[in-house]
This record gives sequence, structure tokens and C-alpha cells, in this order.
Amino acid sequence: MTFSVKFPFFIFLILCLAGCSAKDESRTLTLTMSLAEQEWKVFREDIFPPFEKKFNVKIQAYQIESGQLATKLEALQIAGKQEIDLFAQDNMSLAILINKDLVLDLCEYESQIPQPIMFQLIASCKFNNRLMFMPFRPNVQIVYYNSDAFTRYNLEPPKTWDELLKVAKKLKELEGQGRILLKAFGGTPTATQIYEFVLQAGGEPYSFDDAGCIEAFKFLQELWPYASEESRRAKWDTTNEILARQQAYLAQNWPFGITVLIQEYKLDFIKTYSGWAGPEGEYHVIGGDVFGIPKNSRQKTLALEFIRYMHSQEVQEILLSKLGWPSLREDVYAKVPSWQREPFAAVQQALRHGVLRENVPWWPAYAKYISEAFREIVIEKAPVEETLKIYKEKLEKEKSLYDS
Amino acid sequence: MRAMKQASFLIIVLTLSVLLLFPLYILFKISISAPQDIFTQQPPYLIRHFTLDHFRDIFSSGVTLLEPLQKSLVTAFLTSILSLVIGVPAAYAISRFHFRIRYALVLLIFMTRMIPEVSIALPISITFIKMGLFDTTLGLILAHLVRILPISCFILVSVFSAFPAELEKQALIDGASRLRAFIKVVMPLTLGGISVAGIFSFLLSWDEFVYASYLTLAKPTMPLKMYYYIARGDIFSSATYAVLITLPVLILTFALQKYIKPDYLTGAIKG
Amino acid sequence: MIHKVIKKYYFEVLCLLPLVIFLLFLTLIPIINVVCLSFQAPVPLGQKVSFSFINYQELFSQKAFREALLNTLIIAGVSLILEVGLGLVLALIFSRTSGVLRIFRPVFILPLAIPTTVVGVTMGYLFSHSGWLNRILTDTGLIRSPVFWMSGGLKSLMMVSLADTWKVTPLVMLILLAGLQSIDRSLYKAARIDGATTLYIFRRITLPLLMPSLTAAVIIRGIDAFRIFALPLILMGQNLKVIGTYAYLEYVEFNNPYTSAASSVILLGMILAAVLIYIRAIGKKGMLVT
Repeated sequence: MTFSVKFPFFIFLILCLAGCSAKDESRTLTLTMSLAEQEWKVFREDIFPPFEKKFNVKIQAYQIESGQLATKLEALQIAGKQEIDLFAQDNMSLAILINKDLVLDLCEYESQIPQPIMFQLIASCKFNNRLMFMPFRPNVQIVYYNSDAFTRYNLEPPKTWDELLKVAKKLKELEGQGRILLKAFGGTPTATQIYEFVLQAGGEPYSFDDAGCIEAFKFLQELWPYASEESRRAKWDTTNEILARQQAYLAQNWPFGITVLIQEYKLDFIKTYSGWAGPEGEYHVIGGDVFGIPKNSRQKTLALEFIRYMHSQEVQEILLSKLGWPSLREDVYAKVPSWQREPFAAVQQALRHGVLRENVPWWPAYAKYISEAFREIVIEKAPVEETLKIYKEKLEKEKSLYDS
Repeated sequence: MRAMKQASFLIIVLTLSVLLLFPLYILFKISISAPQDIFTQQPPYLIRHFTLDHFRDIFSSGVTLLEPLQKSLVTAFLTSILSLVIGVPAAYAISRFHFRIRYALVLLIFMTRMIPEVSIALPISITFIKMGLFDTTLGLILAHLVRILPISCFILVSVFSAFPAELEKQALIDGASRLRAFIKVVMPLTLGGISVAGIFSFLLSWDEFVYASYLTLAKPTMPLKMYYYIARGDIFSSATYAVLITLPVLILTFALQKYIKPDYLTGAIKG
Repeated sequence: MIHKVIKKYYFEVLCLLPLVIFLLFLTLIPIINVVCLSFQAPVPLGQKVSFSFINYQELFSQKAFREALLNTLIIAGVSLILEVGLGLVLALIFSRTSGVLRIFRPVFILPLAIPTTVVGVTMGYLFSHSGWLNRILTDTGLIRSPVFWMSGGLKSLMMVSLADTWKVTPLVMLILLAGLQSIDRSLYKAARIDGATTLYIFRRITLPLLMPSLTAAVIIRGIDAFRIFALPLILMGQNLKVIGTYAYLEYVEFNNPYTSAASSVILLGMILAAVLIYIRAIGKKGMLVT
């Protein structure tokens, strides 16, 4: 009786002591971002120290994947112990933060955003016309292609829909399988891709079945038989792998692929350019990260100061010259690292044709239905107009749940 | 005849090994192959260009490997110990009840595991966060136990139920207390089953992802850390980490091999 | 009266107390909350809650959910059969071998060491259109053109089942091995002396005595097979629906805790029903034999 009861209690006590850590009450700013290792290095060495010195704080910065942020914030908020003071989040994943009411309203601080910051980026931080986030980093997809394959077959990277179709057909003919990658996995990647095609056809993506949408889907239907079979599993991470393995020779993806494919893997057959134009022009969705402050953040003022610091010209220059990040401000000029020059030019070009996706709280529902519509229409060859109409009705039904 | 039997066993085991190990072989191959072997349309079946660069890269940024590895090891180890400490007495007690009560109890315990993670991970995590256990190893261990205890108990109840009650009765008649009977008679002979429950708890905790993502911030566990590389489509880092993560488990199972011996019960039960 | 019972059974109570406290306070209460939530009509915060079946109606009216139900059943069934079958074969072999073959044992445990996310990605390498499985099948001439494992439908269900089986068979093997260890070898010897064949020994001695472990394995794995969530999500995303991923997406993506709760409760009901049916089927003997 004695031994086997005392023992577990003992263990339990030890564990309790192990679990309790003395909380350091001096000023710390806890922030979370999702960055590559090289990017973290620049932040920790060049960006954090001046801020820490100036405000006499310690910055604790942690990595959180964009898919995990919302649930963590929710848990911390409901438990009443918000540990995160500031976060950076992918601007495609903001709807859930708004819907769960996890973010501080930043309307009153709009004036602290410096003048030279592009106003479209500020607009992208608004939901229902209220400023809920602060701009951090604009980003846009570029097109990666296999220059060895293209040279071998005497092809040029396609600049229009017609050229895209021609290149796809030619590659399929020459190699027996499709080598153009479409992001057909579903969810946000597919929805973003369709969004761009619709814009390029002159349509309004959220209308679901206007003339532009129909034209875009018809084109995708035509293109699909010549697309790579790997498209079904292509999203932002698998696309890099598929390109590296040369299973596809052309794919659109976010610029982080540059760090992975060109810098890390040193694949010199990967080249980039800004992309193609549709019948009504070249449009690319501007993505990127934004800053947000959790609702019960303990260091609101400090967080706002940090954001102000990040918006400053000095920091923007560092981001541009060391990481090749296109700047938020129009008055920042610097030299980009040499291995980044070509992709950076592609990014700049794409940004020139950049369009901001309107922030709506029902984006996940839209992504779901447009992906399913894509499956049915493009892959299974269902009739375009009728199918789009059916899914539009489903979306309308769900939209009504978001009225708040 | 005997030899034929052994031979056929060997063939079956080898075939199954190949099937089972092939994915592991792929991971291993990626982690030690030069990029040119991987970034081609028809990668070779065998390893053609060998390189230790990927491992070197990971070890040179040593900090990023040791911390999550240590956190995972400590968490899994303590989880398995605690699961036995709590589970063994409980399972033993349950196994000595009338069988109807037994299976009602076991079913009740197991019901807690029949619900998808997502529905209860949040409330459970919130409870732990309120207790001040956010980003602590203890909090993670407790969260893991919530999911692992039912399984561990279930296995242990099976183990103890299969153990014949006559042996303990013998010891009790000989004057031992319930506790002594348990420690001296039952435990030595059920060590095999108990270690299986312990190994399980370790492996389940090692692999756990959901609560780690809710309850850690500064010190992620290995699966969480690996998710980072996977989410970027970084083939080499993911594969190399995967190979590294199997090593502790291999060592552990080799070490515990001797407890899963068949000869434990020989001669213990007289006919 | 109560304290007389406690006094008599103080040993048992003490043994059970930590477990009960732990599970009761930490899991039972959230589970009850989830069940309650599933029966509430969605209302904005502050308003009075009312009992309603609307979430369930909503779920069953969605084709996607009914599909998810079917998929879950198929995956669970296929995985279970494969896992238990393979696990049994492996356990039988390993329980009777010595020396050389023993070395293979830790090797078979390895799949358990790999985190599910990595398993998902590796299976992606195997099952993709230009992946290893298709390559091996075409190189050995077994099929003529590569299979679209990821195109949805039966093939994708098979893919997910195989991936899950791969990861989990070691678990089943371990449980059954532990069960086999506790069978007295002298029983086998006695039966052989009496002239019994291997098959007879297996059916009449091994299997019945193995039943507790077999039941443990089937129930443990069965429950997890129904709850499968990470592998389908990684491999197929929203293209292959199972109830586990449905509940997850409803909560995390579409911010609908009510339908998420209802999906979870439906799953709970399914699993409970399956377990009870199984227990009924194997009868008293099978469960936890003395």
C-alpha cells in the first residue's frame, strides 16, 4: 500500500515542478510568423536587434504554420491566456480569424501607416471596410518552367492563353503525357488559380457564373486533357517537388519555390517569368502576409510599434536587399541578391498586374464549391453553365449564414 | 519437414518485409542520394550517387534538430511511464471484476476514444491552458495521456484477464497481501504484455500531432517540426528527418526485445 | 453503506482512482458538451439555446456527407481486414521463430515510428501518377498504363486503406504477439503428443486463447480506422471525404461547430454500434476470457 501509492505521487510532484516555469515578467514581445530558415536568419540577425535595443524589449519569435494559427489563437483566447502578442498570417487564411472573432480591430491606427505604402495593400487588410490587419508583405505567384525542356523542343514560355494551349498540346504530343501543371488539388490553391483565369477572361470571380467565369471554365476544360496527370495532387508544396522531379515543365507557384528550387537544390534548369495573359489582360492575385493583433494581446502598444518599425524605410530596404521581398513602399530601392535577380524581376512584373482579392468571410465556402465545380466541369466534363449554376446556388445558401 | 517449415516462414517474412519496408527504403534512399538521382523522371531503383550532404546540413544547424528531438523523447518516455503507472493498477483491478462489469467499464473508458480529435481537442486544450500548462512538457504529457490511457488500459486488461487467477489465489492463501501477490506473482509473468502497452504508449505519443499543435509554441515536437519541411515541399529535409526519427524507436525496440520473450510462462503453470 | 464498500474494496478503488479522475474530468465532460452542442440549433451568442435536430438534418441532406459515411465504412472495413490478417500472420510467425528471424522484429515496428504526416507524403511518392507503385507495376509488366490512384472513387479508397494498413499493422502484430506469448507452450506439446494437426491446434487452442488479444486489436484498430483523418486529408484533401475529415473541415475551415459536433456524434454512434455488434457476435467467450 505504502510504496505503490507514494511513488506515483512523487513522480507527479516532480512532473509538476518540471512543468511550472517561472514566467519572466520583463518586457517581451511574443510574435509568430511563417518563414523559411534563411528568412528567419535575416530577421533574427538584422531586423529584431535594432528594435529590441530601441524599445528595451526582448522579442520571442516562433514559427507557426498558417493552417495552425487559428486554432491556437482560439484555444488561447477562450482559456483567457493569450500568449501571442502579434502574428503574421497568410492573407488567404484570414476569413477564419474574422469569423471566430480572434483579431483586434485596428481602425483607429490606420493613420500610423506611412504614406508611401501602396493603398491597395491597405485595402486588402480590410473586412467590411474595417481595418483588421496591417500590411506586411505582398506576394504573387510566378510561373516556373524547365528551360532545358523548353530549349530542347524549341518552345517559348507562353504569354497568352492560346500559347499556353499550344505549348501544352505540343509537349503532350512529344512526350506522351501532359507536362503543364494545373493546381487541381482543391481548396484555396485551386480557387486562387480559377480566380486568376476568370479575371483574365474579364469576369467577376465571386459572381460564379458570369460570362468571364464561363469562358474561363471552357478554356480549362479544353486545356485539361493536355495537362500533367500530377495536377491532381498539385498545391503549393507538391508543385515544387513535381517541378524538381521534372514530372512537369511548367507550373505556377509562389516565390518561396525560388528558395527551395534555385537556392537550396541549385537546379539550374528552373527559370521563372511573370505568367500569361487572358483575352482581357494579365491579372495575378496578390497574396502575401499581413500582421494581426490577437484580441486579448498583452502587448498591444508594443505590437503596433513593431508594425510601425516594419513599415519603415530602413527595414523595407533590408527585406528587399537580403531576402528579395518586393517592398510595400513605393520609395524603396535596393539591390537584390544575385541569385534572385531573375525571379525577382518576374515577381515585380507579376505584381504590376496584381489584383487584390476582395476579402469576404465566406471565402472557404467559395473555395470549396469552386473546387468541386472544377472537378465536375474540367475533369469530368460536365456542362459548364448548368454546373456552375448549381454550385452558385449552394454558395448563396451558405453565404446567408455569414451575415453578422 | 522442420526445415521446410522454417524455409517457408523465411520466404513469407522476407516478402512481407520487402513490401513493408519499401516506403522506408524510399525515404532512406532520398536522404542519402545526390540531387541528380532524385530530380529526374526515372530515378534509379538503387542508390547510385551517394551523399551525406543532407545529414550534414541538418547537423550543422544542430540546434534545430536537438530541441524537438529531445522534447519528443522526453514527452513520449514520460507518457509511457505514466500510462503504465496509472494503467497497470487500474487494469489489474478491472480484470478481477465479474466479466460483465469488466466489459462495461472497459467500453466506458474506451468511449472517450471514439470521438474524432477535432471535437474535443479544443476544450481539453483549453482546460490545460487554463491550468497554466501552455507550452509545457507536463501539459503535453497529460494531453497525450488522455488519448493513450484508454488504449493502454485496454491492452493491459486483456493481458491481466488472460493471466490465470489461480496463481494469485495461491499466493494469497500462502498469506501474501493483495499488493505483494500482485508484485511478486502477477507482474513478473505479465511483463511481456505490460511492455507492449508501454511501447505502444511511447509510439503513440511519439507520433502525436494534434495536441502538440495546440499546446506548444516555443518548443515544438518532432512531428510538428517535420510538418514545417513537408509544408514547403522540401524533399531532402523531410526524408532526412524521417530517417533520423526512426532511430530512437529502433534502439528502443531492440532494447526491449528481451521482455517480449515466449519462454516466460514455461513451467509456471502446472497442469 | 458506501464506505463499507470502499473499505472492503479499498485496493481496487485506489487502483482505479487516478484513471477515473483523469478520464472523467478531462474527457467525459467535453464529450457530453459535444453531444449537447450537436443537438442545438445554431444561434448567435447570448440567445437561448433550443433542442433541435437541424444539424443532423442538414448533414444527411448533403450528398457529400452521405458519401463520407460510405467512404468511412469502406476504408474501415478494408483496413481492418488487411491489418488483422497481416498482423496475425506476422505474429504467428514471430512467436514461433528464434535466432535469425528475431532480428526482423524491430524492423517491422518501424512504420509506427514515422509520424503520420511523413507517411502521408511518402505514400504520395508511391501512389502518384508517376510514383513508385505505378513504376514497379509497369516495369514488371503487371499493368500497361499507370493507374490514377488519386482520382477519387474506389482506387483512392484503396490507396488510403493501404497507407493506413502500412502504418498500423505493426501495432496489431505487437498486440497479437503479446497475446500469443501468454499461451502456455505445454498445451501445444500435449496436443502434438496426442497427434493433433497444426490446423487443429490453431483452431481449437490458439485461436480461442488468443481471443482476448484479438478482440483488443480489432476494437482498438477498428475505432481508429473509423476515425481516420490525417491520411485522407494529406493524400486527397477535400476530394475524398470521410467523417473524420468532414468534422475537422466543418470546424476549422467553415467555422461551423454545430455540424462538426453532429458529425462527431454520428461517428461516435457508428463506432459504438459496430463495437456492440462485434461483441455480440463473438459472445461471452471472446471478450475477456478468464
